[in-house]
Amino acid sequence: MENVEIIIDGVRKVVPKRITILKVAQELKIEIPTLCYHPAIEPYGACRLCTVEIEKNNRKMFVTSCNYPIENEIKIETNNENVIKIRKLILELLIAKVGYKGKVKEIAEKYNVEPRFGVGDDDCILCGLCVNVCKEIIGVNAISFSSRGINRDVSPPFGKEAVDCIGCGACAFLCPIGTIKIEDLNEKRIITKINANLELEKCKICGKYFVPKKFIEYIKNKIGNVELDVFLICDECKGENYIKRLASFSLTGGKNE
Amino acid sequence: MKKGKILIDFERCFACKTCEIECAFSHSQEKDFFQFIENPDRMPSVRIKKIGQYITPLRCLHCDFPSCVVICPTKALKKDENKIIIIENEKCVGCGMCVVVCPYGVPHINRDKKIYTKCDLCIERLKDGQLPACVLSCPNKALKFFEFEEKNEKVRSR
Repeated sequence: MENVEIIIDGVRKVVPKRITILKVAQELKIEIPTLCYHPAIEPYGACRLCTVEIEKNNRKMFVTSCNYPIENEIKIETNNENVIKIRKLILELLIAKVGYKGKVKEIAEKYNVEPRFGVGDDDCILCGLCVNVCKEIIGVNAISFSSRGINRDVSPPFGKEAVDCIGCGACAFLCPIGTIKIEDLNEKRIITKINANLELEKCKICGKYFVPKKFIEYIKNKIGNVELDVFLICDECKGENYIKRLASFSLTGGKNE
Repeated sequence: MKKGKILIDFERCFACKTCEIECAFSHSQEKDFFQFIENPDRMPSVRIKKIGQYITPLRCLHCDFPSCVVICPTKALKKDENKIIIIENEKCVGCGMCVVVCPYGVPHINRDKKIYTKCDLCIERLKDGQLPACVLSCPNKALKFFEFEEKNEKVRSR
Protein backbone atom coordinates (compact mmCIF):
# COMPACT_ATOMS: atom_id res chain seq x y z
CA MET A 1 0.00 0.00 0.00
CA GLU A 2 1.20 3.47 -0.87
CA ASN A 3 2.05 5.93 1.84
CA VAL A 4 1.61 9.69 2.00
CA GLU A 5 3.32 12.17 4.25
CA ILE A 6 1.03 14.64 5.97
CA ILE A 7 1.38 17.34 8.59
CA ILE A 8 -1.31 17.18 11.23
CA ASP A 9 -1.31 19.92 13.88
CA GLY A 10 2.36 20.54 13.12
CA VAL A 11 3.34 16.88 13.46
CA ARG A 12 4.82 15.13 10.45
CA LYS A 13 3.38 11.67 9.90
CA VAL A 14 3.45 9.03 7.21
CA VAL A 15 0.08 7.41 6.72
CA PRO A 16 -1.32 4.87 4.27
CA LYS A 17 -3.19 6.31 1.32
CA ARG A 18 -6.99 6.68 1.52
CA ILE A 19 -7.16 6.52 5.31
CA THR A 20 -9.57 9.15 6.66
CA ILE A 21 -8.32 12.18 8.60
CA LEU A 22 -10.45 11.23 11.61
CA LYS A 23 -8.78 7.83 11.91
CA VAL A 24 -5.32 9.40 11.81
CA ALA A 25 -6.37 11.91 14.45
CA GLN A 26 -7.77 9.20 16.69
CA GLU A 27 -4.53 7.24 16.41
CA LEU A 28 -2.62 10.35 17.48
CA LYS A 29 -5.13 10.95 20.30
CA ILE A 30 -6.22 14.28 18.82
CA GLU A 31 -9.75 14.98 19.92
CA ILE A 32 -12.26 15.74 17.20
CA PRO A 33 -15.92 15.90 18.25
CA THR A 34 -18.35 13.72 16.32
CA LEU A 35 -22.05 13.01 16.49
CA CYS A 36 -22.77 10.90 13.44
CA TYR A 37 -19.59 8.82 13.31
CA HIS A 38 -19.38 5.21 14.45
CA PRO A 39 -16.37 2.96 13.68
CA ALA A 40 -18.56 0.07 12.56
CA ILE A 41 -20.67 2.15 10.18
CA GLU A 42 -19.67 3.83 6.92
CA PRO A 43 -18.92 7.52 7.60
CA TYR A 44 -21.93 9.60 6.65
CA GLY A 45 -20.80 13.20 7.22
CA ALA A 46 -24.16 14.48 8.36
CA CYS A 47 -23.39 16.38 11.54
CA ARG A 48 -20.37 18.32 10.17
CA LEU A 49 -18.93 18.66 13.68
CA CYS A 50 -15.72 16.86 12.74
CA THR A 51 -14.83 19.72 10.36
CA VAL A 52 -11.09 20.42 10.05
CA GLU A 53 -9.05 22.82 7.95
CA ILE A 54 -6.73 21.40 5.34
CA GLU A 55 -4.16 23.06 3.10
CA LYS A 56 -3.78 21.49 -0.29
CA ASN A 57 -1.78 23.01 -3.18
CA ASN A 58 -1.47 26.22 -1.14
CA ARG A 59 -5.24 26.54 -0.88
CA LYS A 60 -7.09 26.26 2.39
CA MET A 61 -10.46 24.59 2.75
CA PHE A 62 -12.72 22.99 5.29
CA VAL A 63 -13.61 19.33 5.07
CA THR A 64 -15.37 16.82 7.29
CA SER A 65 -12.60 14.62 8.64
CA CYS A 66 -14.73 11.48 9.02
CA ASN A 67 -15.18 10.96 5.29
CA TYR A 68 -12.15 12.69 3.78
CA PRO A 69 -9.67 10.12 2.49
CA ILE A 70 -6.09 11.41 2.40
CA GLU A 71 -4.91 11.23 -1.21
CA ASN A 72 -1.84 13.46 -1.37
CA GLU A 73 0.41 15.54 0.83
CA ILE A 74 -1.77 17.87 2.86
CA LYS A 75 -1.47 20.01 5.93
CA ILE A 76 -4.22 19.53 8.50
CA GLU A 77 -5.23 21.81 11.35
CA THR A 78 -7.74 20.18 13.64
CA ASN A 79 -8.17 22.77 16.33
CA ASN A 80 -7.33 26.25 15.08
CA GLU A 81 -9.43 29.38 15.49
CA ASN A 82 -11.39 29.01 12.24
CA VAL A 83 -12.28 25.38 12.92
CA ILE A 84 -13.51 26.18 16.41
CA LYS A 85 -15.58 29.06 15.05
CA ILE A 86 -17.25 26.72 12.57
CA ARG A 87 -17.87 24.04 15.16
CA LYS A 88 -19.43 26.60 17.48
CA LEU A 89 -21.77 27.74 14.73
CA ILE A 90 -22.80 24.16 13.98
CA LEU A 91 -23.45 23.58 17.66
CA GLU A 92 -25.54 26.75 17.87
CA LEU A 93 -27.65 25.54 14.96
CA LEU A 94 -27.99 22.08 16.51
CA ILE A 95 -29.13 23.66 19.77
CA ALA A 96 -31.59 25.80 17.83
CA LYS A 97 -33.03 22.55 16.50
CA VAL A 98 -33.00 20.15 19.45
CA GLY A 99 -31.87 22.09 22.50
CA TYR A 100 -29.51 20.73 25.14
CA LYS A 101 -29.82 16.98 24.86
CA GLY A 102 -27.41 14.06 25.30
CA LYS A 103 -24.19 14.30 23.36
CA VAL A 104 -25.05 17.73 21.91
CA LYS A 105 -25.15 19.09 25.44
CA GLU A 106 -21.83 17.41 26.31
CA ILE A 107 -20.00 18.88 23.33
CA ALA A 108 -21.66 22.29 23.64
CA GLU A 109 -20.44 22.55 27.22
CA LYS A 110 -16.92 21.68 26.11
CA TYR A 111 -16.98 24.47 23.51
CA ASN A 112 -18.70 27.09 25.70
CA VAL A 113 -21.44 27.76 23.20
CA GLU A 114 -23.81 30.67 23.74
CA PRO A 115 -26.80 30.02 21.49
CA ARG A 116 -27.74 33.06 19.40
CA PHE A 117 -30.64 31.40 17.59
CA GLY A 118 -32.62 30.22 20.58
CA VAL A 119 -33.08 26.77 22.07
CA GLY A 120 -35.28 24.42 20.10
CA ASP A 121 -37.24 21.38 21.13
CA ASP A 122 -37.12 19.03 18.17
CA ASP A 123 -36.29 15.36 18.77
CA CYS A 124 -33.87 14.50 15.94
CA ILE A 125 -30.58 15.91 14.66
CA LEU A 126 -30.74 13.78 11.48
CA CYS A 127 -27.34 12.21 12.13
CA GLY A 128 -28.52 9.06 10.38
CA LEU A 129 -26.92 6.60 12.81
CA CYS A 130 -30.19 4.74 13.42
CA VAL A 131 -31.01 4.53 9.72
CA ASN A 132 -27.51 3.41 8.76
CA VAL A 133 -27.10 0.81 11.49
CA CYS A 134 -30.44 -0.71 10.53
CA LYS A 135 -29.44 -0.79 6.87
CA GLU A 136 -25.75 -1.74 7.00
CA ILE A 137 -25.24 -3.75 10.15
CA ILE A 138 -28.56 -5.38 10.93
CA GLY A 139 -29.69 -5.44 7.30
CA VAL A 140 -33.37 -4.97 8.06
CA ASN A 141 -34.15 -1.50 6.65
CA ALA A 142 -37.01 -0.91 9.05
CA ILE A 143 -36.64 2.87 9.10
CA SER A 144 -35.38 5.53 6.71
CA PHE A 145 -35.32 9.24 6.07
CA SER A 146 -38.54 10.72 4.80
CA SER A 147 -39.46 14.05 3.18
CA ARG A 148 -37.08 16.81 2.10
CA GLY A 149 -35.83 20.10 3.47
CA ILE A 150 -37.09 21.21 6.84
CA ASN A 151 -39.57 18.31 6.93
CA ARG A 152 -36.80 15.71 6.73
CA ASP A 153 -37.24 13.17 9.50
CA VAL A 154 -36.51 9.58 10.49
CA SER A 155 -39.63 7.54 10.16
CA PRO A 156 -41.03 4.05 9.51
CA PRO A 157 -42.56 3.34 6.09
CA PHE A 158 -45.30 5.90 5.28
CA GLY A 159 -45.05 7.22 8.83
CA LYS A 160 -47.21 4.38 10.12
CA GLU A 161 -45.62 1.42 11.87
CA ALA A 162 -42.19 -0.17 11.49
CA VAL A 163 -43.40 -3.57 10.34
CA ASP A 164 -39.93 -4.86 9.43
CA CYS A 165 -38.38 -3.89 12.78
CA ILE A 166 -37.00 -6.85 14.71
CA GLY A 167 -36.63 -4.89 17.93
CA CYS A 168 -32.89 -5.35 18.43
CA GLY A 169 -32.51 -1.85 19.84
CA ALA A 170 -29.31 -0.89 18.01
CA CYS A 171 -30.90 2.40 16.91
CA ALA A 172 -31.78 3.26 20.50
CA PHE A 173 -28.27 2.31 21.64
CA LEU A 174 -26.62 4.60 19.10
CA CYS A 175 -28.98 7.61 19.18
CA PRO A 176 -26.74 10.47 20.40
CA ILE A 177 -29.55 12.49 21.95
CA GLY A 178 -31.60 9.62 23.35
CA THR A 179 -34.75 10.18 21.33
CA ILE A 180 -35.31 6.54 20.45
CA LYS A 181 -36.27 4.68 23.60
CA ILE A 182 -37.16 1.08 24.27
CA GLU A 183 -40.03 0.35 26.62
CA ASP A 184 -40.88 -3.21 27.60
CA LEU A 185 -44.44 -3.41 28.86
CA ASN A 186 -45.28 -7.00 29.78
CA GLU A 187 -45.63 -8.83 26.48
CA LYS A 188 -45.00 -5.83 24.22
CA ARG A 189 -41.83 -3.97 23.30
CA ILE A 190 -42.50 -0.45 22.14
CA ILE A 191 -39.77 1.57 20.45
CA THR A 192 -40.57 5.27 20.46
CA LYS A 193 -39.90 7.57 17.50
CA ILE A 194 -39.74 4.72 14.98
CA ASN A 195 -43.15 3.46 16.11
CA ALA A 196 -42.42 -0.23 16.48
CA ASN A 197 -44.66 -2.56 18.41
CA LEU A 198 -43.28 -6.04 18.97
CA GLU A 199 -44.42 -9.15 20.73
CA LEU A 200 -41.97 -10.48 23.31
CA GLU A 201 -41.05 -14.10 23.89
CA LYS A 202 -41.69 -15.67 27.27
CA CYS A 203 -38.77 -17.30 29.10
CA LYS A 204 -39.32 -21.07 29.22
CA ILE A 205 -38.20 -21.29 32.84
CA CYS A 206 -39.18 -18.17 34.77
CA GLY A 207 -41.93 -16.88 32.50
CA LYS A 208 -40.47 -13.40 32.17
CA TYR A 209 -40.91 -11.63 28.85
CA PHE A 210 -37.43 -10.85 27.63
CA VAL A 211 -36.73 -10.65 23.88
CA PRO A 212 -38.86 -9.98 20.75
CA LYS A 213 -40.09 -13.04 18.84
CA LYS A 214 -39.00 -11.49 15.56
CA PHE A 215 -35.47 -11.02 16.88
CA ILE A 216 -35.17 -14.74 17.69
CA GLU A 217 -36.48 -15.56 14.20
CA TYR A 218 -33.85 -13.22 12.73
CA ILE A 219 -31.00 -14.89 14.65
CA LYS A 220 -32.26 -18.35 13.68
CA ASN A 221 -32.20 -17.33 10.03
CA LYS A 222 -28.77 -15.81 10.40
CA ILE A 223 -27.15 -18.99 11.69
CA GLY A 224 -29.04 -21.23 9.30
CA ASN A 225 -32.38 -22.23 10.82
CA VAL A 226 -31.08 -23.94 13.92
CA GLU A 227 -33.57 -24.45 16.71
CA LEU A 228 -31.80 -24.02 20.05
CA ASP A 229 -33.13 -23.98 23.58
CA VAL A 230 -30.85 -21.13 24.64
CA PHE A 231 -32.81 -18.67 22.49
CA LEU A 232 -35.93 -19.21 24.56
CA ILE A 233 -34.36 -18.80 28.00
CA CYS A 234 -33.65 -15.39 29.52
CA ASP A 235 -30.06 -14.60 30.50
CA GLU A 236 -30.72 -14.78 34.24
CA CYS A 237 -32.05 -18.32 33.88
CA LYS A 238 -29.22 -19.31 31.55
CA GLY A 239 -26.71 -18.45 34.28
CA GLU A 240 -28.69 -20.36 36.87
CA ASN A 241 -28.92 -23.39 34.59
CA TYR A 242 -25.19 -23.40 34.14
CA ILE A 243 -24.56 -23.24 37.87
CA LYS A 244 -27.01 -26.07 38.51
CA ARG A 245 -25.08 -28.17 36.00
CA LEU A 246 -21.81 -27.23 37.70
CA ALA A 247 -23.28 -28.15 41.07
CA SER A 248 -24.46 -31.56 39.96
CA PHE A 249 -21.05 -32.19 38.44
CA SER A 250 -19.22 -31.28 41.62
CA LEU A 251 -21.46 -33.60 43.62
CA THR A 252 -21.12 -36.61 41.35
CA GLY A 253 -17.86 -36.33 39.45
CA GLY A 254 -16.07 -33.69 41.51
CA LYS A 255 -13.31 -33.94 44.01
CA ASN A 256 -15.13 -34.67 47.28
CA GLU A 257 -17.54 -37.45 46.50
CA MET B 1 2.08 -11.53 29.56
CA LYS B 2 0.29 -14.05 31.71
CA LYS B 3 -1.77 -16.72 30.01
CA GLY B 4 -4.42 -18.77 31.68
CA LYS B 5 -8.01 -19.12 32.79
CA ILE B 6 -9.97 -18.17 35.86
CA LEU B 7 -11.08 -21.15 37.91
CA ILE B 8 -13.75 -21.07 40.56
CA ASP B 9 -13.51 -22.98 43.80
CA PHE B 10 -17.16 -23.75 44.23
CA GLU B 11 -17.22 -24.15 47.99
CA ARG B 12 -15.23 -21.07 48.97
CA CYS B 13 -17.41 -18.27 47.61
CA PHE B 14 -19.57 -16.62 50.24
CA ALA B 15 -21.13 -13.94 48.04
CA CYS B 16 -19.34 -10.87 49.41
CA LYS B 17 -19.46 -9.28 45.94
CA THR B 18 -15.96 -7.84 46.24
CA CYS B 19 -15.14 -9.22 42.79
CA GLU B 20 -18.13 -7.42 41.28
CA ILE B 21 -17.09 -4.02 42.60
CA GLU B 22 -13.41 -4.56 41.84
CA CYS B 23 -14.25 -5.72 38.29
CA ALA B 24 -16.42 -2.71 37.52
CA PHE B 25 -13.97 -0.25 39.06
CA SER B 26 -10.90 -1.62 37.29
CA HIS B 27 -12.63 -1.29 33.91
CA SER B 28 -14.04 2.15 34.64
CA GLN B 29 -12.66 5.46 33.35
CA GLU B 30 -13.17 6.98 36.80
CA LYS B 31 -10.03 7.03 38.93
CA ASP B 32 -11.60 8.08 42.23
CA PHE B 33 -13.28 5.13 43.96
CA PHE B 34 -15.88 7.16 45.86
CA GLN B 35 -16.92 9.05 42.74
CA PHE B 36 -17.28 5.71 41.01
CA ILE B 37 -19.52 4.23 43.71
CA GLU B 38 -21.78 7.29 43.62
CA ASN B 39 -22.09 7.32 39.88
CA PRO B 40 -20.93 4.04 38.31
CA ASP B 41 -20.05 4.26 34.63
CA ARG B 42 -19.50 0.57 34.22
CA MET B 43 -21.31 -2.60 35.23
CA PRO B 44 -19.42 -5.63 36.58
CA SER B 45 -18.80 -8.43 34.09
CA VAL B 46 -18.61 -11.02 36.86
CA ARG B 47 -21.84 -11.53 38.76
CA ILE B 48 -22.58 -13.50 41.91
CA LYS B 49 -25.38 -16.02 41.39
CA LYS B 50 -27.03 -17.88 44.22
CA ILE B 51 -29.14 -20.95 43.62
CA GLY B 52 -30.17 -22.69 46.81
CA GLN B 53 -26.99 -23.48 48.67
CA TYR B 54 -24.77 -22.89 45.67
CA ILE B 55 -23.08 -19.54 45.24
CA THR B 56 -20.93 -18.90 42.20
CA PRO B 57 -19.34 -15.88 40.60
CA LEU B 58 -20.49 -16.21 37.01
CA ARG B 59 -18.15 -14.81 34.36
CA CYS B 60 -17.30 -15.33 30.70
CA LEU B 61 -15.91 -18.79 30.04
CA HIS B 62 -14.02 -17.73 26.88
CA CYS B 63 -15.43 -20.72 24.99
CA ASP B 64 -13.38 -22.54 22.38
CA PHE B 65 -16.18 -22.17 19.82
CA PRO B 66 -17.85 -18.93 20.88
CA SER B 67 -21.29 -18.30 19.43
CA CYS B 68 -21.14 -14.61 20.39
CA VAL B 69 -18.10 -14.04 18.15
CA VAL B 70 -19.81 -15.84 15.26
CA ILE B 71 -23.02 -13.81 15.52
CA CYS B 72 -21.54 -10.35 16.19
CA PRO B 73 -22.46 -8.28 13.09
CA THR B 74 -19.75 -5.64 13.57
CA LYS B 75 -16.93 -7.96 14.65
CA ALA B 76 -16.64 -6.00 17.87
CA LEU B 77 -16.27 -9.30 19.69
CA LYS B 78 -13.31 -11.38 18.66
CA LYS B 79 -11.05 -14.12 19.87
CA ASP B 80 -7.47 -12.99 20.12
CA GLU B 81 -4.31 -15.06 19.82
CA ASN B 82 -4.36 -15.92 23.53
CA LYS B 83 -7.86 -17.42 23.21
CA ILE B 84 -9.40 -14.52 25.10
CA ILE B 85 -12.67 -13.16 23.74
CA ILE B 86 -12.18 -9.41 23.72
CA ILE B 87 -14.63 -6.65 22.99
CA GLU B 88 -13.88 -3.44 21.13
CA ASN B 89 -16.38 -1.21 22.87
CA GLU B 90 -16.25 1.49 20.18
CA LYS B 91 -17.46 -0.94 17.53
CA CYS B 92 -20.39 -2.30 19.54
CA VAL B 93 -23.80 -1.15 18.25
CA GLY B 94 -25.77 -2.69 21.09
CA CYS B 95 -27.91 -5.00 18.98
CA GLY B 96 -27.93 -7.64 21.71
CA MET B 97 -27.45 -10.70 19.49
CA CYS B 98 -24.63 -12.00 21.72
CA VAL B 99 -26.95 -11.76 24.72
CA VAL B 100 -29.44 -14.05 23.01
CA VAL B 101 -26.97 -16.64 21.72
CA CYS B 102 -24.71 -16.92 24.77
CA PRO B 103 -25.55 -20.22 26.48
CA TYR B 104 -24.47 -18.94 29.89
CA GLY B 105 -26.12 -15.51 29.93
CA VAL B 106 -22.84 -13.66 30.37
CA PRO B 107 -22.93 -10.52 28.14
CA HIS B 108 -24.98 -7.64 29.42
CA ILE B 109 -26.26 -4.48 27.80
CA ASN B 110 -27.37 -1.56 29.90
CA ARG B 111 -29.67 0.29 27.52
CA ASP B 112 -30.16 3.33 29.75
CA LYS B 113 -26.48 4.05 30.22
CA LYS B 114 -25.46 2.56 26.87
CA ILE B 115 -22.80 0.32 28.32
CA TYR B 116 -21.88 -3.11 27.07
CA THR B 117 -20.14 -5.41 29.53
CA LYS B 118 -18.40 -8.68 29.02
CA CYS B 119 -15.37 -10.15 30.79
CA ASP B 120 -12.12 -9.60 28.87
CA LEU B 121 -10.04 -11.46 31.48
CA CYS B 122 -8.54 -8.07 32.41
CA ILE B 123 -6.30 -8.26 29.36
CA GLU B 124 -4.61 -4.93 30.14
CA ARG B 125 -3.62 -6.21 33.58
CA LEU B 126 -2.44 -9.53 32.19
CA LYS B 127 -0.18 -7.67 29.77
CA ASP B 128 1.42 -5.94 32.76
CA GLY B 129 1.89 -9.30 34.43
CA GLN B 130 -0.81 -8.67 37.02
CA LEU B 131 -3.66 -10.97 37.99
CA PRO B 132 -7.24 -10.20 36.89
CA ALA B 133 -9.04 -7.83 39.27
CA CYS B 134 -11.59 -10.36 40.50
CA VAL B 135 -8.94 -12.96 41.29
CA LEU B 136 -6.69 -10.50 43.08
CA SER B 137 -9.50 -9.06 45.19
CA CYS B 138 -11.25 -12.28 46.23
CA PRO B 139 -10.77 -12.44 50.02
CA ASN B 140 -11.46 -16.14 50.34
CA LYS B 141 -9.56 -17.20 47.20
CA ALA B 142 -12.64 -18.67 45.57
CA LEU B 143 -11.39 -17.35 42.24
CA LYS B 144 -8.04 -18.61 41.09
CA PHE B 145 -5.94 -17.86 38.08
CA PHE B 146 -4.69 -21.03 36.47
CA GLU B 147 -1.65 -20.26 34.36
CA PHE B 148 -1.09 -22.41 31.32
CA GLU B 149 2.71 -22.57 31.51
CA GLU B 150 2.76 -23.77 35.07
CA LYS B 151 0.37 -26.57 34.31
CA ASN B 152 2.84 -29.44 34.56
CA GLU B 153 4.52 -28.17 37.71
CA LYS B 154 1.21 -27.71 39.49
CA VAL B 155 0.04 -31.20 38.69
CA ARG B 156 3.30 -32.64 39.99
CA SER B 157 3.14 -30.71 43.25
CA ARG B 158 -0.29 -32.14 43.96
